[in-house]
Amino acid sequence: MKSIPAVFFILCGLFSTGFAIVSPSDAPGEEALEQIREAMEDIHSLAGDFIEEKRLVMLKEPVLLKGRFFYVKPDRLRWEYFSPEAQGFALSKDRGIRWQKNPNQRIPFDLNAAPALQGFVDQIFSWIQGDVEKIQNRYRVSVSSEDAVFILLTPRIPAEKAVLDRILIRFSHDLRYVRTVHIHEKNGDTSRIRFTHVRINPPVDSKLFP
Amino acid sequence: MKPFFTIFSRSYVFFSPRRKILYAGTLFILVLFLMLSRKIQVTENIASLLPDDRSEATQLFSLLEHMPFSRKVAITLSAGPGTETERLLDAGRELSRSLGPPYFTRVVSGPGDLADGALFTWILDSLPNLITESDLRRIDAALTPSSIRLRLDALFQRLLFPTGIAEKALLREDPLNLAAFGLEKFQSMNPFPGTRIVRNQFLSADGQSTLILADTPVEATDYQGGKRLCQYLEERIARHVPPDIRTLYISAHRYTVANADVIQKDVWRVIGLSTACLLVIFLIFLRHWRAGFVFLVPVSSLGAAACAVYLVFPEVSAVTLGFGAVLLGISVDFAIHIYFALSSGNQNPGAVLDEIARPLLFSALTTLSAFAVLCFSILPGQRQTAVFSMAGLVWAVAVSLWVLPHLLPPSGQQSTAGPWRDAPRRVKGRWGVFLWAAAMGLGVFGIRNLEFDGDLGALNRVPDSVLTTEEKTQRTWGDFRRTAMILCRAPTLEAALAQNHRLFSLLETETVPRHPVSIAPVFPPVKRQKMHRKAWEAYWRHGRGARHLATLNREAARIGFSPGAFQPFLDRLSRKVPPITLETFSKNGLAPMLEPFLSRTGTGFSVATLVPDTPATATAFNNLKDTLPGVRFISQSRFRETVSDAVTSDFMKFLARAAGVCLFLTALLFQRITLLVPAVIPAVSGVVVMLGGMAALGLPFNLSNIAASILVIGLSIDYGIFMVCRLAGGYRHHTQRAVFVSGLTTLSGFAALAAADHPALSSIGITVILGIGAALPAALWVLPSVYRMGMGIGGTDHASA
Repeated sequence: MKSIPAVFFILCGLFSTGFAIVSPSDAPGEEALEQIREAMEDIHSLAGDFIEEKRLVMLKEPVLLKGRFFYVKPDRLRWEYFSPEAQGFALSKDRGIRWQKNPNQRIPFDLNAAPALQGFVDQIFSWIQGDVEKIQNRYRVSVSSEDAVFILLTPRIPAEKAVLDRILIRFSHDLRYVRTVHIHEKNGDTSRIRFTHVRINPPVDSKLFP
Repeated sequence: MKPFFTIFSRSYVFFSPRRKILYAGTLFILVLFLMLSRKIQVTENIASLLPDDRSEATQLFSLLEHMPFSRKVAITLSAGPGTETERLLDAGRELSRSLGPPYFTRVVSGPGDLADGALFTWILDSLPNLITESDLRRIDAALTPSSIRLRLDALFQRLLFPTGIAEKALLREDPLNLAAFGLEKFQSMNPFPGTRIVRNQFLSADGQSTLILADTPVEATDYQGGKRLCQYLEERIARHVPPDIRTLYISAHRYTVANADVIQKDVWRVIGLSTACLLVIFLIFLRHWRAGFVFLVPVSSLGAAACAVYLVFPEVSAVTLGFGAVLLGISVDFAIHIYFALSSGNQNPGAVLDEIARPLLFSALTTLSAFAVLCFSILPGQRQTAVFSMAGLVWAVAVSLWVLPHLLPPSGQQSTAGPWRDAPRRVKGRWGVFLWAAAMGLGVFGIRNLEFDGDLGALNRVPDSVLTTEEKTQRTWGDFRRTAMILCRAPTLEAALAQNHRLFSLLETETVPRHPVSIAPVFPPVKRQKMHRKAWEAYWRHGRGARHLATLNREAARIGFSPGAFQPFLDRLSRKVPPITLETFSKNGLAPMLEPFLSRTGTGFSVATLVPDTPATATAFNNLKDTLPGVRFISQSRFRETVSDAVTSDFMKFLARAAGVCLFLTALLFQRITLLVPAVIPAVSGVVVMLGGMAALGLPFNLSNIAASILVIGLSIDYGIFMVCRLAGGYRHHTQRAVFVSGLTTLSGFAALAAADHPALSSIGITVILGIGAALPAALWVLPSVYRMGMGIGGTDHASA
């Protein structure tokens, strides 16, 4: 999982919707990340929908995925797709459940025994905990602002560099929310994720997690 | 003979006016002992208790040291209630990082690179070399059109999942999951069945424990090194493992340390107790301040003995020094005899020395010869003990005959023993002999039930805490510490691998052992790999595999995969693959996983296969060994058996030789059957009652008390020699009392030994108490009656005069 930081930045973008009080214009990368970290402190839960468009070399046609996510601090996460097929996972600490097609047919798993997923989840959680240093160790961060604010992340670690070209996160002009996350891979694969109906600190039903 | 034995009386006369020179000379030697003693470096390495000759036992021991887990410390960290797995694994990683030189050379908390993507790629690359024809049949059975369709459906979903970015490359390389067939080959190398690999660390099947395996250069038999190792490890555990995580560790060192600790405590207790007993006996029976010089004889003999060992051997074993308690009890006998002989009346001391020298020297000679046979033992510890005892005895005899007479009070000034302190009066007439004969009969009858326990392990004293740790480790990780090893050795790597491959194939046909742990499936010989490659290519190019590929392409297109989606897989199938070699493993960082199994020897290579150490496995190996020449079976239990057999046969020989030499010397001394028979009565009584008593007490004859039986023969024959000399020579000195007191001192020394915690020491104590406990009354009561009966047939009874 060293090479799949993309979704982590999806959430990174989501959490930065708490930037309302921060003046965004011309903020250097480090400062922007610091502002994001500060914004994280007030987030206890998150929920929202997403639409993801994947264009993969391995597939003849682009695929459009729709789904939703829930997060409860510090270590509960649910990530699920509704279409084209239902699948997803939910976690409480290192106890997890996973399903494919039928959400009622849940397969329990130990996160420690699923290294790929663990890497994905670790990155999300480390972001939520505001580990700016970790992000900067892994990515070069640059910020640009025209009609909207963009954060461009390029990997530093060779293993990630070999797979990932860049990640572009587009914020709204006032940094209140993330509009899209665009992941470009070296082989030409791209994923574009658009977030909608994001809610910060909503009540989240504990039954959604194992 | 007479002129020789007068050397002591003449020496007495010579030194009487020059005592200061004699004392100064003796003092000088004692100071020399003291100076040399300070240089002695005591080693507590219990290897001295194991054979060091060229026997099978020695070879096995050396091979055992090369077993994968022989020098490993297994550390188990277990999560307490409520402890998360992640926290447990963090603690394991933290502890393993904290362990290092000089006590640990390599610390492993997981398979390392094995769990990395490199392994997966390596497996895919190596499939043509590893997959056998039987595997191809299984692959073929698994690849049906419907299974391929289902597999591609699942693969499509995985691509869309958040982890798809990470998995994509591997899914392109192996859409049919052929790597699973390669990966299962690695199961054959896993000595921990059921263990999971989580975050590159070992995690037990129940998820509650993690394992650290640490290589140490400290020898398993090194007590001091083992002790420091344990202290170091415990200190690291206390510092790096949170209190809610329980840590247990086990290694051969813990057994060594536990055993040696008990022996060490015992040795000091035994020496203290036996010294105290000696003092009490002296106070009761000798009752003169100059009797203190008698006590100095055994004490100084310890110095002489230790220095002799220091001069002869490169290192002095603590176990040998522990034998000092026994030496104290034996060497004091000579001084006691001199004391009582000189205190017996108004005789001229020179004349007394003339009388006592002969039995004293002969009794010393018998004891010395009993120990001398141990010089030929296969156990270095026993050889050291022999030199130690012989040097101590020679010194004790020399001091007793040359120096002690000058130090003792003049005749008539010594204490007169009261009736209660005198030796027991003899049992009159034939009743004593009858009772003795009955006791002998019972003893001989009892010997039939005597058991023999040749297991060295039975002589170990292991604390419950160590046993519990061993049991828990075994329950959590399987019995990996008690595996046996089958070793294939050959001049070339290819030949060793070929032999190992053949062994593995043969073991698969046996019902036991199940699941041998071997590198054979992962590292077949090059010749075998070539066969595999040929079959692999034929299958995918022209066989049923080609049809499966057509199905794959068809179904992939139907599901929505692009035409080149699985091109990396197809390219891999058509690629020429080089054979797997040692370099291949090294280049991919996988060499460490071969280390436990593969090693270079002076003459070539050896490849190990691990199997359960059970009698059934040994039988299975016996069935195979004819078809596998040069292959060796090495196991702890086999080693124990071999050592036990070797040592037992060794000791049995020595027992017979010691008895023969003692009998010969006694016969040489008396030269008449009427004197020889009573003289051996204490020895016969001692041996018979010892063996019968052991049978009655349910005490088996073991490797420890076999040595004690040599001692019983050597000591009890002395009583016979003194008593017969006294009876036949008509001496007036208190031989009977001297025998009684020296018997008491010996008994007190061994009674202290019998109270020891360590089974090896206490069994020696009990055995000798039984033997000497019978030899002493036989010498005091039975011998005189038998002697008189003999004399009634054809001799003169001086004793009755």
